[in-house]
Amino acid sequence: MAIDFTLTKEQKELQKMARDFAQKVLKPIVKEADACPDPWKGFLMTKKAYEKAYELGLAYAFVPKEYGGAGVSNVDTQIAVEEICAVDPGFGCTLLVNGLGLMPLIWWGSEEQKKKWLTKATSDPDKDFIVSWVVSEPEGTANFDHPGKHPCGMQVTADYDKSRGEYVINGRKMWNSNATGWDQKGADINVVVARTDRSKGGKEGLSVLIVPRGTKGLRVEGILNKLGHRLTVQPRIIFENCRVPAENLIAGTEGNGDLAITKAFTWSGPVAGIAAVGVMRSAFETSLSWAKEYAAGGSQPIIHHQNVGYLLADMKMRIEAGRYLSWRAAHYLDQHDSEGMEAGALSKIYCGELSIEVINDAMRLMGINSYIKDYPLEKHMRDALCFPIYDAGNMGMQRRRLHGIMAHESYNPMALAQNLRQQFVKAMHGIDADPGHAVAGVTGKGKRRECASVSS
Amino acid sequence: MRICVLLKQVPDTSARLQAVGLEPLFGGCLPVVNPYDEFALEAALRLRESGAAVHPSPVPGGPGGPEGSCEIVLVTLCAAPVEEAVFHGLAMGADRAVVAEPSSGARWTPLETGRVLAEVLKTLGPDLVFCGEKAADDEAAQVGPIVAEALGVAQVCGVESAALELPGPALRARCRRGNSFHEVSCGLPCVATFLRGPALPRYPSMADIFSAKEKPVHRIPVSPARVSALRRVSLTAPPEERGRKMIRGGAREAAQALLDLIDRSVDCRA
Ligand SMILES: Cc1cc2nc3c(=O)[nH]c(=O)nc-3n(C[C@H](O)[C@H](O)[C@H](O)COP(=O)(O)OP(=O)(O)OC[C@H]3O[C@@H](n4cnc5c(N)ncnc54)[C@H](O)[C@@H]3O)c2cc1C
Repeated sequence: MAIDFTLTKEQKELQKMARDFAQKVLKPIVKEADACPDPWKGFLMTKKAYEKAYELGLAYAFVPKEYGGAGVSNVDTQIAVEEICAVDPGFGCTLLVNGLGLMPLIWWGSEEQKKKWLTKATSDPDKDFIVSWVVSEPEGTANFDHPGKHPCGMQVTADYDKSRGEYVINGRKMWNSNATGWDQKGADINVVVARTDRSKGGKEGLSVLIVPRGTKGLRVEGILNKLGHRLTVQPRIIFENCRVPAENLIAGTEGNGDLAITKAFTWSGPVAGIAAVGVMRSAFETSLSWAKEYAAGGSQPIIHHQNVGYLLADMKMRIEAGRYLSWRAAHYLDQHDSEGMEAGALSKIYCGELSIEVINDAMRLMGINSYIKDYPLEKHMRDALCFPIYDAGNMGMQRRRLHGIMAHESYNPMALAQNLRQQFVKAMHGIDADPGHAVAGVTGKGKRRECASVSS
Repeated sequence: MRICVLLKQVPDTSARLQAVGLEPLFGGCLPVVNPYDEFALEAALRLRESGAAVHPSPVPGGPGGPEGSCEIVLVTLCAAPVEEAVFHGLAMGADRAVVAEPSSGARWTPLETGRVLAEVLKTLGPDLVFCGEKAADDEAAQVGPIVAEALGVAQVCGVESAALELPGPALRARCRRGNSFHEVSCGLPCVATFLRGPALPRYPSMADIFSAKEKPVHRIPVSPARVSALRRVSLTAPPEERGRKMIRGGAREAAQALLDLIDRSVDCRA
């Protein structure tokens, strides 16, 4: 494709639809839901908006058409997500996690599994079907690919009970968006990463299982009370001898749970990136109109001060840079079947961290009034502080992934610019996960070796 | 039955107008469907969904829609590209569009526009023609009545909501006149012009949007009969907005401060 940033007719229409939805359906509830001291009540306030989003196809747009979704591209998703997150990124997160959970099924599921679960998600007469992506754990998540066997890395186990043809899941998870469902009885589908082989490390021992709502032994408790992103909900989950049939293991993920984690968090990278752009954009618009109206006791609105104009210029150039990096990362994922682990991480890290700088500038511009709840900047800042640490944290997961990719001998620094497919391989996992154990063979010197040297 | 909905693309209604010579300039704003036309299209979609609009076409011998179905056709005339507006109408649920493309980019007066649209409509044989009462850019409020006149059919103006009376069929419309309402019944074919009503225009879903590109858009060249004596002699942009005043404090103090301000401004004018 030639480089062309012109939106298609469909993308312009999608942008308009998402903007109308965000401004007219979502916005009226945001202030109250954000301010609600009880995070559960705040989440419940979003239910009507979620149902409308479901009706409009926003909740499962990424699902291929043959399973009832809209089959939209990653670039199309960018257009809609920016509009929603410019109003509230917490609500955007609720929608995003449907994708985080179902994309591994789309990539690795058998035809039968896809028909069963995806069609269920897209044809809910109640319009509130919700999916949870269950990875994070209370004792840490970043080192999911730790080469050590259980209890290193992911601690939730799924032991196979041969006599009954079932997996038995035990352990605790935490932070899993949507896992409450709408009644604290669980999401409609929980897509759970667990250790299916206790004797193996994170690169061989993890798999992904589908645990439907109502499965005995799955309990949700303790809603987390967050600083920002208050319209989305994260509980703790407890698995106690929770049994699912063997057919609920997503077919191609057996022993590849690590790849599922990385690919899902790659897919969501540009989405989180553009979510941060949406928030920055709102902060910019707030400070621009403030600068044109507020005189701070002077005789002219403060936009006539040079420092105000220069701050606006600095903010704007960073927002635009972030937007196009996200679009490009999404475009790269579209072109390479989501094998864009470098692109996804770059846009997620860059935009998330940038958003805090940009909102900080917006607050410096607006001055002390930015610090009170009467104006939107304090919320933008609370929301933005989440971007670098959620959706696979920028330090322990995203940068570490980039480190693994770049250290690998196959790494081509021009692959992204030249739109070449860069296949992610397991050898790129495990780097830095176990300090003191240097990962062998990733410097390009000598023969490559798997970094499983410490796994058993 | 066939319902034709006239559609005009206008600049985003929140855009600030600048006057350069005789042409308005709307820098950097998005083109949108004239909001009143959106209400007209929504009314057409609801008529179809009510099931009543599938009644066989009453247009005698005319090429009305096939019996047992209701087709909604967008009709637009525009020298500038109207892709966004037409696409939006199709995504909302219209079946197809006819775009009349003038040979020159010259500005058309409402009379010329109305007559050309009527010529296009004659080839379509609609049972109903719906459009906005006025366009949000020039607010002329002439095209609907001119189309009705040129087609030689009845017109119902200022409609807020509409239904079909069966048998007949006839259009039953609730119309606004200032603060009062009246209901009329009008035999078909007829032209109805719409105001903002209680039925808000729908948002197209993702699936609607991505299937809209399959819907047919016919382009037909037209040239105006230069019939109008109307011409623009000057154009003035609205005055710069006056300085705003922020009122701070709790609801009670803010309300009092606002009342004081209003009192003072009324005093000044008296
Ligand atoms: C709004 C929101 C929604 C979320 N939704 C979900 C969800 O749907 N599903 C889900 O499973 N989780 C979810 N999470 C959790 C989120 O995905 C976290 O990013 C994830 O748990 C990883 O966090 P972490 O990197 O801080 O991990 P931790 O393991 O807690 O690591 C903490 C820190 O330790 C350091 N560190 C650890 N190991 C290394 C290492 N090897 N190298 C370098 N530094 C290291 C890093 O500084 C890292 O930041 C959500 C969180 C929030 C706030």
